[in-house]
Amino acid sequence: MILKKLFSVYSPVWQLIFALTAISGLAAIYQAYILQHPQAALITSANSTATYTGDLQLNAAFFLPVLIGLISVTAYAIVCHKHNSKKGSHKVNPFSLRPNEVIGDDERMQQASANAALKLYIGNHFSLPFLAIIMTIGAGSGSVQMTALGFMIFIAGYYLVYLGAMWPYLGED
Amino acid sequence: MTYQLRNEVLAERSAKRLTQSELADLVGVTRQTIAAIEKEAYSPSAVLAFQLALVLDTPINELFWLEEEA
Repeated sequence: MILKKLFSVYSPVWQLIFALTAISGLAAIYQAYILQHPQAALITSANSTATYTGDLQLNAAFFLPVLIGLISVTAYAIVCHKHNSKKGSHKVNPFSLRPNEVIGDDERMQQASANAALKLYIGNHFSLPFLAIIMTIGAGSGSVQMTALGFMIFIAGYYLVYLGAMWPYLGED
Repeated sequence: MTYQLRNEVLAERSAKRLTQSELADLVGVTRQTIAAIEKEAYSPSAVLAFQLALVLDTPINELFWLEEEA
């Protein structure tokens, strides 16, 4: 039941996985690029050992997110297809501008989505200043990992707040 | 002072021999919303409450009423 709710077609967990894999993949590429082209990031102390380490990091840190991304996209496509073939009148479109997590089937679900959005806004009110601090420190120190980690924590919090608020309503379909 | 919205939707629906799905279709909501209303876990909007009263052919004040919470 928990897994059914967690990986429901309306669950924000999918977006969370996509976002985290995209950020970690991009961070891995950028990190490897900086280590191979230190002048691009105004790093003056990079040496050949760092370049070699960068190549190794790209292998491990890049291909794992790509693999997780491919598996999760395939799984999401299967979940969407199963849902759409069962619920002809309430089809979901993965490419819709309106996220599938915003459920608007009827007034109860609209109210639930609105309450979740309110909690999200309150959560962002407190977490955005922390994200700004992490981004500033990360940018100042030239640390891609720190910037990426800050983003990932923020995004995880963002989707987990929404997931928590919508939890009682997931898996009802 | 707080109030709880109570209802007799379950009793009236049973009397009319309607399933939750049939009632849901008649008023344009999901079956889960009807179930939540019957369990008094969800308070419907005024529009939906009037629609339910109309479909169940029951005066709205007999279908829904406020009860003071202890």
